[in-house]
Amino acid sequence: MYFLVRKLTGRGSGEALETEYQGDKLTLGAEPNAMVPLPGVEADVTVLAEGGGGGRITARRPVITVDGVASRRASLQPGDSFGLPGYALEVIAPPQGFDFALQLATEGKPVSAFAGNVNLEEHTWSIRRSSWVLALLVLAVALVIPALGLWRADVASTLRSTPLPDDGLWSSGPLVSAHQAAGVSQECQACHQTPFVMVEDAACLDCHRGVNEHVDLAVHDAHAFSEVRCGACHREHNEPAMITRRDKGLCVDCHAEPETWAVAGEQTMAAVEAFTAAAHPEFQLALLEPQGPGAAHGWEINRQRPGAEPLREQSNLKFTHEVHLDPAKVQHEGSGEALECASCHTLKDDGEHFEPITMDAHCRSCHGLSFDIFEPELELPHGDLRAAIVAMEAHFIREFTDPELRRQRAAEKPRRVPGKRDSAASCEGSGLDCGRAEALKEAQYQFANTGCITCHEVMETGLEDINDRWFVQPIRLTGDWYPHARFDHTSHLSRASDRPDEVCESCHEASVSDSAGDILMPARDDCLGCHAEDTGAAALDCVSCHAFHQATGTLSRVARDSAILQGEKP
Amino acid sequence: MRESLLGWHHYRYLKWALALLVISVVLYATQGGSGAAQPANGGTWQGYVLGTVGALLIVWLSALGIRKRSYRSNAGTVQGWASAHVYLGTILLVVATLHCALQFGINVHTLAYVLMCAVIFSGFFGLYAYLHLPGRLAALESGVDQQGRLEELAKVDGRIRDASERCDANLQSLVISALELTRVGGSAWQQLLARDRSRVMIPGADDQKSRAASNTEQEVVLRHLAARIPDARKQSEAEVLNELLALFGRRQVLLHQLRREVQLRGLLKIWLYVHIPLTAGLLVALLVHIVVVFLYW
Repeated sequence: MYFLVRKLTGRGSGEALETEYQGDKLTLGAEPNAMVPLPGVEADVTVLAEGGGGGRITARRPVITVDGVASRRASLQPGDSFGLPGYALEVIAPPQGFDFALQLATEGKPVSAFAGNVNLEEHTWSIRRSSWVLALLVLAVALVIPALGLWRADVASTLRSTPLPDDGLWSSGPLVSAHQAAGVSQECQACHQTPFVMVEDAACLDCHRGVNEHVDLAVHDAHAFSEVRCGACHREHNEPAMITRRDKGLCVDCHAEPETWAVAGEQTMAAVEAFTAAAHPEFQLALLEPQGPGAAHGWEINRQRPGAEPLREQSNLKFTHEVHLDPAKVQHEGSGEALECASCHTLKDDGEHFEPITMDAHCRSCHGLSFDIFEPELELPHGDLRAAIVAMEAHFIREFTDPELRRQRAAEKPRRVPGKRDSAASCEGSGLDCGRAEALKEAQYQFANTGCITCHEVMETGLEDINDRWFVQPIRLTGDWYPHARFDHTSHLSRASDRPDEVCESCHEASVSDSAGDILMPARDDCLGCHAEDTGAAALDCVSCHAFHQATGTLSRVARDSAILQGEKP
Repeated sequence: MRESLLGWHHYRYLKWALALLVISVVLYATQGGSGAAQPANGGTWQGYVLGTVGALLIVWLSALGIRKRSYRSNAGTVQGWASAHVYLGTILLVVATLHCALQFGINVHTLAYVLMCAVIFSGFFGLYAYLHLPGRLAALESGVDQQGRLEELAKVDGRIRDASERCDANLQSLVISALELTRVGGSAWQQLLARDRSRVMIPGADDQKSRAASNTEQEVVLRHLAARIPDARKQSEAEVLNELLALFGRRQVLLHQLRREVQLRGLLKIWLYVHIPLTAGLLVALLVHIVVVFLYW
């Protein structure tokens, strides 16, 4: 295509300079590569010839002025006039051989040559337009696209597996490490099951199936606890991560006013407002109480708070810590060293409780049950009175019915230790009678003078029959004095001391206890010394000592699945 | 003396803002700690209060921006609003930071916070611009506005064109190219930078092609004209050269002022191109933040 541009020069003199251009289009403007250089028109103006001398003009910005209106494009016919900043142009009839012809004149003032370039508005997006674009972008990315997954699980997983925005953008913080697991960490709807509804207990219990309630709903009115959600105590998405609230209110919100959920006819729990002398009751001991004479009917746990009178343990045991810890009186069998706490008390792996004290493991090495001086390694069985008597009768009957053994022993009898028991050498009856008589004598000695009676209370019934003549009262030692509390011996034993037992004795005053009935458990004041809330020392929260989910509570899954917590009593 | 934007009514809104600051800090301090149900965050009751205050502030500050578009108006209450806008907008930074307790992540909540910060910091630039640039602009204008300067430039250019017709072809093409290749303004970025991108075509001797050279501050053409004066062979040629030198000297001053004026006017406005669209984005992000908090309760 051939273009002709006639440039009027001079001032109104009619002089003109004609230039020919060839190409598929004619470009005008301030850019260096424009065919017709027009300083000041920075809008890349392009003209396309459309036949008959007409054409179409377009510009990057609205700079084409036709009849005083600025636009970005216009259709032109020969005779039409239009303006560009600083220039007046007219479409003229193209001479022979040309497709399009323009007459170009510089406007009188070059003012407009700069006018278009000195206004910021013409060179930026309008504020309104930018605002709409940004607002809609935020809306789409942050809300609309992630929300598509709310209705369709497959859309949600597609969004999560691609770089597209998903509902992870809505997370208000990281999950605790335990929840950084497949099926929870990415799947917001595993917990947030219904939009605009707080996370429901059912969502928690989907995974946590073995959790018990705090209370036994068979005892307490479930209605009083119907407002309690898992989420009331367990909060997610926090920094620092803290799944369980540790504040006092966790317990005190309810326990400050125990009368609100008291059970009719039962004693109300003591109120707790803080761990201080004034606001926390004395610890309640779980005391084993023997039922019937000599615990003939077993044992029952009786919860008691210490009062003015000191409580006594009723284990039926004869024992004093004072004697056993006195180095002058009791020493290790082998080394001759004094006993220490750890000689008998071995901490269990839980760090709180101790292995049970047993006759065989802890007492027998000193308090052996041997009954025949000629066979000191032979000992009576422990814990079974009938078996002990049978063992003695069998032993002595054998001795008196075996002539060879009898002769051998009789020769040594005079060397018996004086003051023990009478010589059996004088027995002249049958082996059976002599053996039985000897067994009875030995039993008398074991039950009433040495052996059993060292540690046990022994009742003598006065009955003839050897099997019914004595009753050895059983011993039951308390394994868990504070069954509802948690305590870590390990951390407390880490305190420095010169003698290991000093640490133990700072809480359990064993070396001055002269009775097995003494309760050596530390009481509230021992703990308050360090842990009182109002002293600001090593203050503890309630759940440091008390577990919330009780072993004795109702299984949560059962309680919450049923209508119990909606106020119905089971 | 005219009351400044910041000191309006004896720093009334500064006092309001400081009061709000103290209340917010106290509110924040009552949450968290070892005895708290949860660490300080936007979900405690204090967090909700701080968040609500922050959201109301954002909406109110935005509405203010819509209502009052021209800070250059000196109508008393407008300045009061502007003063409140500045102080309460600044305190919003503290209120929102305490609301979120410095918990950030890649999420819509932090998006709202980041947008808010961007709006506030662009506002700080705007405040700087409104406090300092009008004075500089006034000093520059010295009674002549942009239109007047452009008209004078047109007159000078006309006289240069007239005078150039009395010169030889080489000089004429040099002078006319200096006029035509003068650049003022341009794109938004060029307007703000105000760098002189003018060029001039220096005619080559005899057969050589002419070449374009940078004509920053019209220096090349001025130097060229000055160098030609001693070589003038005729009195009339010297007169023309002198006249052109004087005209280009004036042109240099006018163009420099024009560029600086365009730059200052641009700086006065450009931050609004950031401040207002970001505010729109912030309002939507705030809405999303609130909806989402309750959507995933």
